[in-house]
Amino acid sequence: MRGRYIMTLYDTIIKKIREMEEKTRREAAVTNISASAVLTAELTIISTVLLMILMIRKLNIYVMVLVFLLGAFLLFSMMPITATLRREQTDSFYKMIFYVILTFGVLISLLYWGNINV
Amino acid sequence: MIPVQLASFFTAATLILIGIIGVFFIDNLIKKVIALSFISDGVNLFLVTLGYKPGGIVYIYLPGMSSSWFAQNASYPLPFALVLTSIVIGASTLAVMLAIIIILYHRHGSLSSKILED
Amino acid sequence: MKSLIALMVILPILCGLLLNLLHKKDRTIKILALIVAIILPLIPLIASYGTYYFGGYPPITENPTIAKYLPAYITGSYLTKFHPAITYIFNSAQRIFIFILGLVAFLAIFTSLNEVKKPSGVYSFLMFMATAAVTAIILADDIFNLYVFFEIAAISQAGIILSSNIKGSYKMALRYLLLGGVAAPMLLLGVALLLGAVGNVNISDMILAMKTGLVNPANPIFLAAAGLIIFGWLYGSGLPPFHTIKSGLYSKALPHAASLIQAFSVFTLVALGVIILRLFYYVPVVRWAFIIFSIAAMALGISMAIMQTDFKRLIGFLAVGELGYIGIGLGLGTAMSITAGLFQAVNEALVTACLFLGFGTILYQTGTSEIDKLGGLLKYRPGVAGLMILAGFIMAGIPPFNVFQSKLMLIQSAISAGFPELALIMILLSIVTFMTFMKAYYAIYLKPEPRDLEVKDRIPSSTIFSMIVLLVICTVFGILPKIATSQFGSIIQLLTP
Repeated sequence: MRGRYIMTLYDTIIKKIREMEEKTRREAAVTNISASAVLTAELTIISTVLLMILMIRKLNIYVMVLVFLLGAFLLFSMMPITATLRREQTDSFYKMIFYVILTFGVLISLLYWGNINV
Repeated sequence: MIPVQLASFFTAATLILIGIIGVFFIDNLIKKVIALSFISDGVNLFLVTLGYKPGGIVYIYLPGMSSSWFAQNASYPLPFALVLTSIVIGASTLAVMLAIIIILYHRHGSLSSKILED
Repeated sequence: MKSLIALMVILPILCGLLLNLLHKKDRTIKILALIVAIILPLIPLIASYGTYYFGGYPPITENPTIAKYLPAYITGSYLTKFHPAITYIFNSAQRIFIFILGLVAFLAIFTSLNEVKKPSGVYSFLMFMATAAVTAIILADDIFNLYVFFEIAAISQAGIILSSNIKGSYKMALRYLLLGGVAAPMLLLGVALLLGAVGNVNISDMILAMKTGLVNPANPIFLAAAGLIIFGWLYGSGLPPFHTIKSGLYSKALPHAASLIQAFSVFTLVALGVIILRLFYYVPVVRWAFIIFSIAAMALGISMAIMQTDFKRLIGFLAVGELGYIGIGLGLGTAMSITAGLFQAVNEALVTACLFLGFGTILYQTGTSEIDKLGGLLKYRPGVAGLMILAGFIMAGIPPFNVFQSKLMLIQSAISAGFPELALIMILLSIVTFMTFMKAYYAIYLKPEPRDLEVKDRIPSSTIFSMIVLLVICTVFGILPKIATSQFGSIIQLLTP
């Protein structure tokens, strides 16, 4: 029956996933990777990050809820993450050394200034 | 006047920092390798400086010295043994890296690190 | 016999040096390499437990003749318990690790000698040196000795990649050495900080000094040393940010060499990880760093694996991803999780070696590693395809095999430690691992064969023999897990006071 079609949240998510599938299919046509593999990788990364955020409940449950909502919003707005992932995780020496030095800096700062109480 | 040991630690830290910056920013492969040797030189200098003792003597036990006087006045001998091994390891890694660079130069005709990008 | 402990490291080094000298004498190389490779997994089974001192002396408490001549302020202090020597500790856990490492090394060397008509003495030298280095890393109780062998292992692995004659192997080896040139000196800097703070490089002595109050463990020098040593550990084991270079290394090595190098990564992760947890037992951030890096390894590795079209890169990323399970087990810190993590390490080394060898047969038969160009290989060698599907099922965690037991223990320990999210992540990633493997298996074996694919029907029997040996051990550990898990008691005692 024709009428006013109200966009529910569910419809928005489905539309977003279809758009992403179109984008990856376009990219897949160039790079010959099946869309199902890309979608699986996408969902794996999003689920893993969100599950990791749930572990913050040990510190403070309100902070966890806040970070979870923020993380979910950021992840879904950054879709497709796999495109960024495939661009960053190449064999390029510059990208590798960049992430190495970044991790080194974060690790040392966290441990040194964190003290035992962190 | 800055104390000798503190100045030496600062020099070691500066060498390590120059090395890390060099590895990341310099394009020429051989200069990258030189920057890596800066890092290992800085760490070796740090190790040697750990053995410093103000007014200490060289840790060679000569006949005629009393053992307790020697134990109280000799500078710490362990770091020099470690540094010897570390310098040898650094030299062998350097040799292998330079050999690979020579072969890559013969293949690609360039010393730029763009040959390491796929 | 305690001198056999030193033999575990010295024998492969000596053999490697001899093989290097005897390069081009094919028969001698084959015989010598095979004999030593067979002996390698047998030595840990007959060596007796204990501490071996390379040079130097046992501690003064065990050496009353020296104690007579020393002043009272030394004999009355904790200095009498310090080790003035390079010590190797050999216990039940080290025994099973070195046995599995020796077994994988034997199978890799056996496969490499049988695949070519003219064996290379230099190539065998590199494999033996790397095996000796990782054995020393497992045994070492002296942190500087560990660093020396860590570097030897890195150079040997780069050499193994250089010898593979695959397109792009030189660049990959150079990238590995350049990254190592940043990471390994940071490990040495961490060792130097510990030396400066404690005055000793022996790990047991450092822990004794921290526990008895000789040094203040809350000193920021220890925390900085923790960060630096963890950074070196990340490089040696192939956890992020070094996961791309490690998986690249696996893809540019010959299949038997890749199976050996992944065993090196697994055992370096375990050995150095246990040492970090022993040294920095009072810093909770260290365990959290383990867990976070492991989850990152799992997520990144397995997600990248599923998107690959080259099966060598696929199995390389899978191998890196599976390391994360071990890290989570060690990071959770309970007795059950540490046992599960160590058991997972043993199982990982076995099943990933089998998968690398299996994918190597495909490369041998067809000469290509692109999944899109392959298909229909089931009809040529259904036996090998059967072994491959078994190996894939084992890796995904299907009962009654070993990886099922260790993953189940990991999941149970995560839930009982109060982290069901970790259990969910592990289950999810196991499912994706299975999906990745089935996708590759379908594309290689079950899909219709492309017209232009040329298939050689001959596979070296040494590869099939190696795969069968590894799968039999996986089955034995799966049905009787206590054979392996009962050996880890010595490490559990050190890590859970």
